Amino acid sequence: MDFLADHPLEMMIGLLLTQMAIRVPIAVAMGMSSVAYLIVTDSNLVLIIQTTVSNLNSFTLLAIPFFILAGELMNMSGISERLITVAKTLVGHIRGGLAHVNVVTSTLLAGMSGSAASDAAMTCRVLVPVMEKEGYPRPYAAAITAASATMGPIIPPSIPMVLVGAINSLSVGRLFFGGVMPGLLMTAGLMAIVYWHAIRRDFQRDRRATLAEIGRALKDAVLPMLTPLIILGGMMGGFFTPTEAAVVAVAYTAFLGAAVYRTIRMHHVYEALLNTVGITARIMFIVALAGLFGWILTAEQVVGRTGEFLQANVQSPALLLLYLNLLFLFLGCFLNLVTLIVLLSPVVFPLIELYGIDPIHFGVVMVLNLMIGQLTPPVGLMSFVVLSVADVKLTPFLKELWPMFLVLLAVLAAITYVPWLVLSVPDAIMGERLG
Amino acid sequence: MTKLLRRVVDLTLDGLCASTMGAIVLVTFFQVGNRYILQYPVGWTDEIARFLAVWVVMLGAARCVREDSHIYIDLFFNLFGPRGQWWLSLIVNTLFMALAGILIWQGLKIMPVIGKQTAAASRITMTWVYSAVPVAAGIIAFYLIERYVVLFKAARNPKAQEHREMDLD
Repeated sequence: MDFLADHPLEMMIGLLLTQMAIRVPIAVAMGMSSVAYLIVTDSNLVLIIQTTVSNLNSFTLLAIPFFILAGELMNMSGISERLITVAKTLVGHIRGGLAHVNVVTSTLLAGMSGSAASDAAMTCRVLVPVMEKEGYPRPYAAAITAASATMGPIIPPSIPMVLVGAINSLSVGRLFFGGVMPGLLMTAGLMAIVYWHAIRRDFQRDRRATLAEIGRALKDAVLPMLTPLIILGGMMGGFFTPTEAAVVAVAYTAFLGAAVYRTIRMHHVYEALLNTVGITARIMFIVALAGLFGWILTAEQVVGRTGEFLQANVQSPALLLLYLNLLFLFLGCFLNLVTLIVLLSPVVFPLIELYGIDPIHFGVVMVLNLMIGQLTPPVGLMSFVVLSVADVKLTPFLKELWPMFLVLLAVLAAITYVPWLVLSVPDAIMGERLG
Repeated sequence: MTKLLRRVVDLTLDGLCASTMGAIVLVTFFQVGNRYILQYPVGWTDEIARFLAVWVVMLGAARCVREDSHIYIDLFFNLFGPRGQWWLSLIVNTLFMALAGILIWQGLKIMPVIGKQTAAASRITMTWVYSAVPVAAGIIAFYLIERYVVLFKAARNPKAQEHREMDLD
């Protein structure tokens, strides 16, 4: 008992990892290991209530359920299919047509919904069967779906960016805009690798769509394609906070589905609300119970102690970025995105600021890194979703995935070491950051 | 009887979750509309939306217990045989139950203190916000008890026992 009382922090982290390993829900593992800390240090247990409520009591975090709800409504109203048609008429004629369509669809969807997993499920259901019919191997179709779905949270709006912004008191707007150029780089990179595959493996292409067809597809999708303009434009002009922009996106999507396309009925709304609560609670229950955990890390001055150690051993910011990226990629193999953001942010963000690294730049790098981690086995949400929806085995999937994985890593390396790629857009739109 | 109780709790919880989420959307939308259309911003919308968010996450967490959809890592869990998995599930359930118990206990303990505080803009007492924690933890405990029942039924079921022993060989 004395040993535990002398090393409460070590005990807490040990308990956290043990619990995580035996399938205790992450939120419960965080809660109970922190409670153990409070008990051995003889602190007041009531802290758990205060930290839980104060972590949830945040207007910024409300953007998360709103973006999820907008995505749910979008999928129910058939808007996603309209976007796929647009992508088809635009890039279907390039060699490897449908694979390009897949990438461009992911880009368009990413601009409207904040949830990568539901985007991936959607494109997977619609496009993988069509691609297979046109001669693409099914694992290839699944791989390009998963790889391009990682763009979802990089291109705004983005749930992980809201999380990073809220936890570290950063501007969510800047993080959103910071993702624009990296997201487009990912689109370009993935289309390049698809093109190379298409030549080598002789993939099909569609005939070129006529201008009239492109016009019709655009006309059918023009109203939903205004959504990103409303979200980003509203934030750019300072009309809305990100949370307000998200609720406006919900209202606009509901209006399109209910009044314009007439595809959303009352029971859809109920179902969408319930799904939203389910997904939100899964994310935010972790955020809630991480409150006490974070409080303890602060009380134990973990940041200060790690900082001293780091500054003695790691000299340059470039080296620190490399180490952190490798650490995140490794952890991303085992832990999911939300857990890692919630767990690491309170320690990592103060550290990188010691090295003069811009937190907006680092936030975008971190989210992209962790999204790539969602692809890697053994624990990769994106891969799980795609594998189960497309009904593909892991080994052939990974065989097709690795070149795309390398492309994504190349983008990660580029935005890590060229901060301009991240920061130029938010700086141009919102002005240079002060300080 | 227990089936009926379970059904009533399920439906009430779903109804509460959906309507609270709907209310958050409406309140926040009202906030935007108010500012731009009626040019008459009111202070309480932001606050009420946040308070309802506390409720919706806590109630939603209870719903996730029912659906077994909380985020966990089952990498190592899957390496165990059926008997090992049964014991691990029992431990997991007990840890969750302990957390729910602490949230109820401490949540009730803080009530008298919190009852004296009122929110800045809407002037409601903070009891309305903090009570989300013990109430939802109570519903979580309800669903966890049900899981205990399922676990022990599985242990007593001779067929499952046979099955498990076969797997152990």
